[in-house]
Amino acid sequence: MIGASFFRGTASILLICGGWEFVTSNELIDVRFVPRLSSVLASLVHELAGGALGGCVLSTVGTALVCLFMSAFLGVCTGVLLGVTPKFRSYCMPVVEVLRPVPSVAFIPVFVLILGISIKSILWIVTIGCFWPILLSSLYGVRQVDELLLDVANTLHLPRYNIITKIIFPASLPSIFGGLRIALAISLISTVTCEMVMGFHGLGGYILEKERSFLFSEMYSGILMLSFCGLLINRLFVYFEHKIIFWANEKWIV
Amino acid sequence: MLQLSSVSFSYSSSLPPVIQNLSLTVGNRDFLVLLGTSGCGKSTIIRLCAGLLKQTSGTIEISSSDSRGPGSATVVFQEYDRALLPWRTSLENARLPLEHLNYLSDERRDVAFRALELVGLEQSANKYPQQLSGGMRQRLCIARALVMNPDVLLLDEPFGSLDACTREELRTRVSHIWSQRNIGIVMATHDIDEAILLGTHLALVSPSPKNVVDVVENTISKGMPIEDIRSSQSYIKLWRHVRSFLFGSKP
Repeated sequence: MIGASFFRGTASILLICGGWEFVTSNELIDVRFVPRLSSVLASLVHELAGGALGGCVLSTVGTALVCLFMSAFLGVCTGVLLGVTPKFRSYCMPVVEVLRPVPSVAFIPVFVLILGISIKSILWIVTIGCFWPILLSSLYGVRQVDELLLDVANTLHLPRYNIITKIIFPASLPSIFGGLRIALAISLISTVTCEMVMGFHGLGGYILEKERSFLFSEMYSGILMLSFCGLLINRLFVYFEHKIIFWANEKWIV
Repeated sequence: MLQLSSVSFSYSSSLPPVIQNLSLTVGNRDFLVLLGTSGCGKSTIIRLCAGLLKQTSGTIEISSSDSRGPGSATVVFQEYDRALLPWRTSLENARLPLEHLNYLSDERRDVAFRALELVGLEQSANKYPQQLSGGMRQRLCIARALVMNPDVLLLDEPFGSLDACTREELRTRVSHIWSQRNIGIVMATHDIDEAILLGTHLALVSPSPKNVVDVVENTISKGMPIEDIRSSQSYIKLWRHVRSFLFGSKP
């Protein structure tokens, strides 16, 4: 699947890298704060091999993914439940509308008070942040299911439970995946934010600590690492999305 | 057998009735065609028979062909594209109505496969709906309805979204299915030719007041070649009668 667009994309990235190296090696900007790309990459290799970076990556990515899975489970269950029960929905929606606009990181002080500076706090905050988009996308997915499919299910005398699991849920999956994609971005953002605010391990903590120790090459290598992780997770996500909701892909031909 | 006795229906009590005092009987082996212009209430009658709408007054009864207990009816809609599950193969789509019933998985597969064979889709059992043509998708919908082994099959303009050739082919299929199975069929259409070629009874639905005014028995034999039927005197006579009912004597 490597085509012309792949090479064009690679060329742009190489151009930016080259630009960075050129600007810094000729000292066109203050190299104390923006070190050369080559020295950032050198410290990246060094930190991955012997330093704390590897552990930090695992911790941050692990936290983000655990939270994503927890919120996916909770969000999809709640969303589908709200979608199929209009009465229950009218009780819950005002609550959702009031809580949803609050950025999850605003709850950091609350959880620090209750649970202290600990991984438990981070897990709660990130899960809450990811929960809302998944909840809403599931809810709207359910409500957008074609009326005719439900008519078909009724005339085939399917029990209500089967209608939900075999028709409504799969038919909502494309919408649910839209929410998961947003939640994926939120999970990394809020995990790193929490780690920074709490000065707690993980990539966020790592970047902050290196900045405070004037180790700017290492600081940038942490940021680069975040970019790699984000890219990799996103690619994996798209891969599984195509596998699971293959029918929703317009170009899908077997 | 399907029996409607003085059925009326309106969407709300403040609106005028869509169906008024309709009585209709469809026997075990009858092929009743609801024929009328668009908006005359054909689909509403189909939906009432299917139980998707509840009549305001009157009764709708379906009895099984061996007259033991209540029977069942299933619908095939015009919009085959929206009626199939795109994440399931043909066989899995056809199997859907059996999945909550007490079947062995092999048995379930066999019943679904036989239904696919009846509509000529056995070669496409493992294909997904997007990989099928429009006509094949509609045949799949029919197969899925037949899997239920219904006493009455309701077809709501089943060929409405198909091109002329596919329409012709599918009409032959439906005719074949009707002769193979001990089943009553109710089909809504606005195509007079289709109605005469398929139906044993033609129920002419007038636009207003919306109820069946005239049930014509169609005695033309279904065994003859289509060209002979179309050129026969009785076909032309029936065609004229139906046409003048539906459109008046306008040219």
